[in-house]
Amino acid sequence: MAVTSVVLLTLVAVPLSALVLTVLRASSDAIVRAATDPRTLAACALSFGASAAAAFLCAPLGLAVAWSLARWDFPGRRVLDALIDIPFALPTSVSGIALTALCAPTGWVGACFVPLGIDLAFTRVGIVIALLFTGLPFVVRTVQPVIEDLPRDVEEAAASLGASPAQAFRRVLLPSVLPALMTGTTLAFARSLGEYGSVVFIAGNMPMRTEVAPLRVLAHLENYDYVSAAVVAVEMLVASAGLLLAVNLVQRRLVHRGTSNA
Amino acid sequence: MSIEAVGVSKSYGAHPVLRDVSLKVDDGGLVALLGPSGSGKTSLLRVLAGLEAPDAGRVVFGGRDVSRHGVADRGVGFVFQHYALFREMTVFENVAFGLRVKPRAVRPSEERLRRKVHELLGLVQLESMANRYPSQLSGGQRQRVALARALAVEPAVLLLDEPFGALDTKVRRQLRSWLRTLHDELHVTTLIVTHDQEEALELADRVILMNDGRIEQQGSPTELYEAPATAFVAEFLGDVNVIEGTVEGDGALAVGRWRVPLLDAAPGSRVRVALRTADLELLVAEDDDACATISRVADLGEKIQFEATVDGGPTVRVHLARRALLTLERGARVTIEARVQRVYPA
Repeated sequence: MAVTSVVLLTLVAVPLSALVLTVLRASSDAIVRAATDPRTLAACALSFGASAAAAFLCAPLGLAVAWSLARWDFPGRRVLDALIDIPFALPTSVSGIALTALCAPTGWVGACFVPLGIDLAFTRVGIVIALLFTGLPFVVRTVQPVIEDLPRDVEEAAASLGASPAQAFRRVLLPSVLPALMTGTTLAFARSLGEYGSVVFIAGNMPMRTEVAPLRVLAHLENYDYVSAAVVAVEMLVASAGLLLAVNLVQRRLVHRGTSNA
Repeated sequence: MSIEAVGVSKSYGAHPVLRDVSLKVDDGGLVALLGPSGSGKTSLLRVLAGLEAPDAGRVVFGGRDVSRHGVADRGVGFVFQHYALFREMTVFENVAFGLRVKPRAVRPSEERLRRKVHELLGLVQLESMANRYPSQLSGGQRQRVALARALAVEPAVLLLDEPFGALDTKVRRQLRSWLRTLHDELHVTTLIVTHDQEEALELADRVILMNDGRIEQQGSPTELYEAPATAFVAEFLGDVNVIEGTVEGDGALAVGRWRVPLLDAAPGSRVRVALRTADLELLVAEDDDACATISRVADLGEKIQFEATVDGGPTVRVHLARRALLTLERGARVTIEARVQRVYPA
């Protein structure tokens, strides 16, 4: 308990309060200017939008991947299982460069989309792709153990009662997996909000269009404009904390229905 | 509806679990599939249910070949050893599940569904638990919910896989007689898998004894107990001592100093004799006539278990009625008499 408090305090609370203090010490004029700068607002909107889009895509994709890994034994399953963790282990800038090379109009994947008139790299689509890449393992790794723990006979029971595979999935399996799926998706979303390394290369960083919020923070820092940097950071902090809280509340209600009530 | 398996075989990899099994359960019967673990009884049940596909053979329900039907289309009620209840649903919703997933055209109205579920909960005596979650129930209650859930879709046959295996002895006994009563009311053709011979003998009209992927013998409990067809059956049912040896010139089997007269065994042949603990008698004897010494006495409650160590031979277990306790003590010299014996070629 004491250890937890000390760690939380030094690693989380102190830096965050320093951030808030920096903002509080600044003139209100500077704060308002930094907070309402259209370029910053656009960047924040993009960060949230792209992160949300990536998280929503991560959820079904991650569920499908986790399901396949947990329930089917196919050749190469172990290799695939190990590959899932690559985005965790890879320095984000490396994945950023790799993804950019892949998705650029000359890259293997990007080239396939050129005839369709779709540009992957240096657009918002590219940002979502990068966030999908970094977010997916969060969903897979939180959901997979839950699926592995689900007893097989529950599926068989549903089938023996006449349920189609779709009905069994929706009515029996999904409710069991949902809390973990929400946790994983939230983690992926939170990670995406702050993602910098893997995004900056593929995004192209065009002001007002493909510039993400963390890049704004960095830009301000490079200009020694610590107040503006802190303001953007606090904006992100408040918004994401509010969002995480909301997700947590929803999730708690879900879990409550299933277990503590049960 | 009658259940039939015709020449069913199945293996997992190189390991065969069912070898050309054929059986028939008559309409309305209650049959137990009995056998040691690994004998293939659960695999057979799962093949009949459609949860497992056999490598060869057919499954026939009421004269109709259902081999190609999946579990959802066979109209079976399946009860699992570990209940397999839906933990995010209340007891009511668990039982209602099979009705709710029916195609719209045949799905009952909400009101009829409620009536039906409450009727079933009444049948399994859990009406007051309708709004609880499975985790709030005891093991016995959970298994009753599982049974009500299986019965809700009015299955043509009921298949139970070690349904009482995870429960303690007392609850098992209660549920056993309750299941028997329920069957007498509903007359659903029922096949129950168990490794507990007492359960099989008490519950079923007919017992099918399996061993190593084959049916060893089938018949009424009395037939199996009184006339075991093979050494395996004789040794599996009841509490049995097995002695092996060569028949001597006078037709008796000598085990150390103990001579077991055999009724008709060819002298010189190797035999395996199954002697039930309850079919043996101990008589106090003088030193010269005695052939064994009581080495251990254990009070089992309804009966007393004596272990008699034959001079120069094995230790034999004998079960005697309670009153015997007074006269026989540890160290007493005795002779052993076998009232019933079953002789098989070794």
